[in-house]
Amino acid sequence: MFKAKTKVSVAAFTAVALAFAVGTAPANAAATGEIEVFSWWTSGSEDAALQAIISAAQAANPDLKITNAAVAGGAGTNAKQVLATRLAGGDAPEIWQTHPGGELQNYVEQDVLTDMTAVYESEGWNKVVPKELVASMTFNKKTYSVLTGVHRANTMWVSSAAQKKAGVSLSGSINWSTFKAAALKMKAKGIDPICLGDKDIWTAAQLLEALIVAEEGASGWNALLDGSKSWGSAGVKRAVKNFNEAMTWTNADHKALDWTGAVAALAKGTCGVNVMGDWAYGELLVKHNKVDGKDFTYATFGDANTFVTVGDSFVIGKTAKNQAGGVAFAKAIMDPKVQLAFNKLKGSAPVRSDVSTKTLGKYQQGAAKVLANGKRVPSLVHGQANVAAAVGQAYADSVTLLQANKSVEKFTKAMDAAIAAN
Amino acid sequence: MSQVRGKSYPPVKRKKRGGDTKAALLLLPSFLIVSVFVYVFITYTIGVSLAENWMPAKPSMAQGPDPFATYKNLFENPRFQSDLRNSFIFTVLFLLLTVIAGFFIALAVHNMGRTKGFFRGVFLLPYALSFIVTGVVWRWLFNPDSGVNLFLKYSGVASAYKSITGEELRPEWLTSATTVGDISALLEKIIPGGQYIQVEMGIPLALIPVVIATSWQLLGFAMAMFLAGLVSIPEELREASMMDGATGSRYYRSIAVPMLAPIAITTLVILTHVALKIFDLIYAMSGSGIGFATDMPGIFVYESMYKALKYNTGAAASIVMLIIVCIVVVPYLIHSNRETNGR
Amino acid sequence: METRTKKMYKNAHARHGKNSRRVQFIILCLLVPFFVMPFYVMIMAALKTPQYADVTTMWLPPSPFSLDGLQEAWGKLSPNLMNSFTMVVPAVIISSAIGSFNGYLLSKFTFRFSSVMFTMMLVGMFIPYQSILIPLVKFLQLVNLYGTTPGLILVHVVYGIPITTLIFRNFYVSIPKEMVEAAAIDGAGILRTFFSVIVPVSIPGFVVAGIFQFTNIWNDFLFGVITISDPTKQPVTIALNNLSGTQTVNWNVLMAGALIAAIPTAVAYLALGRFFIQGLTAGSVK
Repeated sequence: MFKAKTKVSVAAFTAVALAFAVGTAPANAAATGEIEVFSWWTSGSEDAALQAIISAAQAANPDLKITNAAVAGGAGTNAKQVLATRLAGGDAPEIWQTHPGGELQNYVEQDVLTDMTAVYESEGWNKVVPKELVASMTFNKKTYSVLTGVHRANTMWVSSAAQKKAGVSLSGSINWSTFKAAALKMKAKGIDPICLGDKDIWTAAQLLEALIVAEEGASGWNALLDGSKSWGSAGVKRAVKNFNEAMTWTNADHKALDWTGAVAALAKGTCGVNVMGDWAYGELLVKHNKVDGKDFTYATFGDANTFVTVGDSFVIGKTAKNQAGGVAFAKAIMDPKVQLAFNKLKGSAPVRSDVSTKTLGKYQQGAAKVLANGKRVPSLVHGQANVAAAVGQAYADSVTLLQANKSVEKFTKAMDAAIAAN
Repeated sequence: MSQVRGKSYPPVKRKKRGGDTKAALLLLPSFLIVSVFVYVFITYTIGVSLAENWMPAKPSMAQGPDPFATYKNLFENPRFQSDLRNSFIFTVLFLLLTVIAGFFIALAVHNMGRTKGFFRGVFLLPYALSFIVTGVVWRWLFNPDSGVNLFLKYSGVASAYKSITGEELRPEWLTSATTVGDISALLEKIIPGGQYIQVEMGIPLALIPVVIATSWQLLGFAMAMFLAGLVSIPEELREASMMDGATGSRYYRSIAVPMLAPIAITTLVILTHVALKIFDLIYAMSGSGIGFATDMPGIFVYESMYKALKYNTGAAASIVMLIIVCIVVVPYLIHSNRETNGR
Repeated sequence: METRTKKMYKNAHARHGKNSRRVQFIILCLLVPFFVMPFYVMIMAALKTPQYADVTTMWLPPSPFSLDGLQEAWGKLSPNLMNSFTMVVPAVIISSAIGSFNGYLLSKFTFRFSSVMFTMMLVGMFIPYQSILIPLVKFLQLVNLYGTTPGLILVHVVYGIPITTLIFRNFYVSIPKEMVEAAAIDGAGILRTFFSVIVPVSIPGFVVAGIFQFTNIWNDFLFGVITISDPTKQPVTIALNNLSGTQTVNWNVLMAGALIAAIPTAVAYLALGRFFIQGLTAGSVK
């Protein structure tokens, strides 16, 4: 009895002390000591973008030693593997990367995150970050992470050369019959209508997700995710049928290519469109030296004003030693100047609506506008939804099976079972 | 009577009991520390597999109402069924190719003169590469449009094939969704609970390029093992057998092969170990493949634990793999230990 | 002096051998391109710019030619190369030494539970390591070796013992028991016998154990990334893995890095391969 009481009062005291420390720290007091930043961004544009945050945080906190401990691979799974063992061993880093939604919730359940609600309030972030995004990072009225930027997963990149050759023009909101007509025209000219590199199944899963969102709309998609709508609904079934048809329009070697191979094919013009997150933008611009508008354009399956979000967020470890350092880093991430610098390199949209996007690429300006004003839905493929991580895995596995057995029935049944079980 | 370096010794019949116990004691430290790293950790893993909601920072071993539900769901999971099938087929094909080819290449290299070092180096070099990179390079090489199929095209083999059969010769390699020889019906009758089989139990053709890539990497090691054995065959034995009239293949069959048997066993065990745990190479080369054609238990454990955050499922899959290995490998090991003992 | 009969047989054998040797030589030469082909692709890709280091152009020589890949890879890998060396060399030596001693004990002595102990040591290793990472970390913390190079060496040594033991044990079964017993008669204990009789003829065993362990430990990613979290102390495989970003990959850098990371292992093979000499056990049995 006595022990329990002490436990509670110690916890309460710590919570109050922390809130006091975090909430009342003078806005420009620089943090000292060391912090470790743990992410899965290790090379190319992602590393450059991360360095933009690190150098800004370093400049604002000259006496703070920032160690960049990143581990690449498995679309973040390698990093999660390392993180799991570190958490099990009680050796949490100060800052680590995660996805808002179910993944974040898993960490909250394990009680390893520092509550950032007070910082959100003192810095006024609630006013400038879209409310669905804040909601995806808030559990039991406490907000636990900050976003660096938001990618869009349902962009359809179109090869200008390919569509010119086929005599089609795809832009804005594209419905299935329009796309089908264009695809057949492209096929007639010897162009693969769809570029796909699905050695890693997420790229195909992403295409299906875009098709489902197109058929079900934003509210339908949210209903599918929270279990209030069955995956056996007409919209989903239509989308799956369309997906099966789309699989006959892809490049023959799609299983042997990863996503960069598909983007390369699009850049060459051997295929027509590629549904890919807008990290492809940087790939097209920098690696393939393509010009926005001249060599490629973009459209969207379904409503062009629906933005499927892929946010990257960072959290502060509760048991990490340097809490003040962690908070300082979080503040650097949300700094408008840093938001601009980061997203310029990363290709995503700044999460703050008060960041001027004038200096960003043409595509990014458009994306930021849709993010601010359009309908935002979380991507299941990229672990953004407020569902258990196992549901995302079940979705990916179901798409793998779907490609082999083409059964709409089995797919919808499996998804309903996964949502129900989790 | 045996002679060692010119001295002759009568065979010793009496066993020194004291020496043997001492040997056991000297082996004990290794045995104990390996046991901790293996069996204590496995016991922990079994606990995780039976727990309801184990999490790294909240390692609760508390079990739900049906702790074995995790195992039941595992066997009914089409992905895990594919993994078991793939693991078995991959291991068998890989062992056959690597050990047999490794053996014959070792024999050939052993016979070479000045070029011995060159060949040894060339065949062993792939083993030096990291598995991840091997996977990527062979994925490129097996691309049906830009990889090794080009050799078929430009060497005239493809056109010859077309003129004979009237069909295009364009192997699909990793992009193939075909499974050859489905024995699900047979298995359903034999295995208890076989009615839950949901995948085609045959040979997924997409596994063949994976076998080739892994063999390419490990053949050099198998060759090195057999070379070590060949090099250790005392020269006198070879000369003595020559005197007895055994030349060429007769020598190999009656002298060399039996002497290489223990090395072959070692090679088989090590390569089985590699095959059952294969992960990096396949993950980089083909991922899980169409309809899980190339998925492996290692990948499943990795994704279950660290992507789906279902630690109990991943742990259960590991334990199942271990049990299967025990059932298959242990009798073989005991048998081979007895065979090679007391020489 | 060779007798005439022996010479006759030798000549017959040599003639027979010459023909089969020629055939074997041709077959080996035909196999060489198969083994070298992937290296060709890697080297070509390493010397290209990111845009052209791609699956569709893999056979073509670099145009434009670029050393950027090698430079960037070297810059990112070189700090960690020393970490790998300081970790791999002790681990290989210790695990091979222990393995050879264990192999000797298991092959030349029969004690009650030898077969059981040996089998248990071997079988437990078949579990996928992804699932025992967490108890492993907890154990390392218990003995205060978490996050340290000695801790990583310990992990590699312990997981290497079963296989090195297997290699040596099955290698030693072909050494006649009489050799060991002869030394015992001379009054040598277990250790003396090991060093004076067994070790001198173990060279090929050490070669294959060395090849296997060096490759295994040098190319290990999992234990390295889990045991050591400080990026400056991690082995080179983690740096190599990080050359491919999670979302963006420059293949030229990755291929260049893979070639660089493979060089120490290749050199180790060359060094160890010299010991594949016939006749090490010559004159030991009559």
